Amino acid sequence: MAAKGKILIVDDDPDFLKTTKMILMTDGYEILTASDGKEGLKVLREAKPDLVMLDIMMESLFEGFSFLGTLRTSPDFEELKGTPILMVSSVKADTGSRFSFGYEEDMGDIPEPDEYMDKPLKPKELLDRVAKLIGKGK
Amino acid sequence: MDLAKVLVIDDEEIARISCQRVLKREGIQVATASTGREGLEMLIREPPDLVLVDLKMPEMDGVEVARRVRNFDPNIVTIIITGYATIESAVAVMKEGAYDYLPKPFTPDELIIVVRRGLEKRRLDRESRALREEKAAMERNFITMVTHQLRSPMGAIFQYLEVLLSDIGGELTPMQREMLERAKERLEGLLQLINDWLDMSRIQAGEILNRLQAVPVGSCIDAALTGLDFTAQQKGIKLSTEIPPGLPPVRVDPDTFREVLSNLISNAIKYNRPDGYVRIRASERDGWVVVDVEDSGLGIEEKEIPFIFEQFYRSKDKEVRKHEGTGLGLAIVQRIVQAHGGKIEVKSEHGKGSTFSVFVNKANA
Repeated sequence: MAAKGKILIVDDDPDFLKTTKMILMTDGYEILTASDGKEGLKVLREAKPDLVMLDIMMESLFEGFSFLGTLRTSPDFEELKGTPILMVSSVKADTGSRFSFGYEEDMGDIPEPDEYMDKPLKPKELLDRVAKLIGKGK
Repeated sequence: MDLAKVLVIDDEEIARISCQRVLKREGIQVATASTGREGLEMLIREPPDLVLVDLKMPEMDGVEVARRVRNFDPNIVTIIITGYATIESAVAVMKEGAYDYLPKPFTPDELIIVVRRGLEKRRLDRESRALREEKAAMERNFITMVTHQLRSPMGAIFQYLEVLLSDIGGELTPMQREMLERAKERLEGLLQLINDWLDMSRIQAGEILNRLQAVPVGSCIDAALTGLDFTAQQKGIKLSTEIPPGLPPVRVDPDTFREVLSNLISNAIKYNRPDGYVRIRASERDGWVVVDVEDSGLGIEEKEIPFIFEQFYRSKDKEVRKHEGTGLGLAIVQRIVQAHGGKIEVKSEHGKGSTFSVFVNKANA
């Protein structure tokens, strides 16, 4: 069976990795995982996924943002910079609202993810968003 | 610990030298100056822990030096040396912030006792300041800590339950499903409580005023609906939005105002009947911009209306009690709206539905 799409999940919480992976795999996606930003970028370059799910708070507070910045602006990722990003965090609103709702003047130079979701993820909502994002990317 | 530093300011050379000799033997680092001006210059370049200053000097006297030392850094301890050991002169220098005074002539032991006591005060002040700063930092970090350290593991547990309930880990028996559903509901309640609690502590009126900006009402409503449209769809509730063209933008803090709207809309969805509706309407009334959130839900009994904005108040209604709730949502809403200089009104008919109206200021062109 051909996978519906290839998704890279970058998160340092092994339980989130495991459950998110299970939700997405059961729905027919191929899943790659990485537990920090550096590894994430490496896997991203090798496997060229259709979507990246990125946790904001990895080891250092803003590792997620720096991942995003590298992907969107570094010449090394020129070819992949359009990969849709679904940013995920358990820090509700505090960090999320800064970029997720389109008040451009607040944004400064932080690149925006394509979509944002709060942890914990609800399976149906997650699948819904993921399908839309992958659909858009193609 | 670093050597204690003492600055001796005295126009008499003998006094400077003898102070220096006595204190050095005590393992104290000593600098000397012969005028108030020179002493203050040295003090600014290299702040000492303690200043010993002679009261009677030409140009600038000890009282003036004590005043300037205090203005420069109130934590530096000043001790006045005085040949006129009168009550009046002692009172005058203590008023200028001197910590103690030493009448001339004094013995080496007297000098050491007074200086040691002054240095001890300085050390205690420093320690208590460090503790205060540490406490303030802990308070600041507390919110971040709670958010991450508490929400992360609870989120992980929650997601396991979600996965199990989706039969991804294998098929569940009805009994197992029911128990897991219940566990999930309780956990949901707990997560909500943490969120509300954090919101409550984040709202500070002054900060909201600083962040006011002109924003179109439509974008506030759209932002508030993110995620809620999905919840409404799941519950079969029809969401509609009505924004008349030409409505002036509002003057709000986008983050907290979104919180207000999403709180009201989420209540309207939550306490609704199956196949009900939620209508969100913006309009201009009596000089305000008003957002009405109308639902076809359970409604509120008239006698309860005065209490619904109170912290931790929950309706006595059994239908309402079926849902998890923290009793903080509307209290947060009201706090935020008031911090905006706006107001909130409720019209409700028990069994038919409620309309919450939020009044905020127009952004002046």
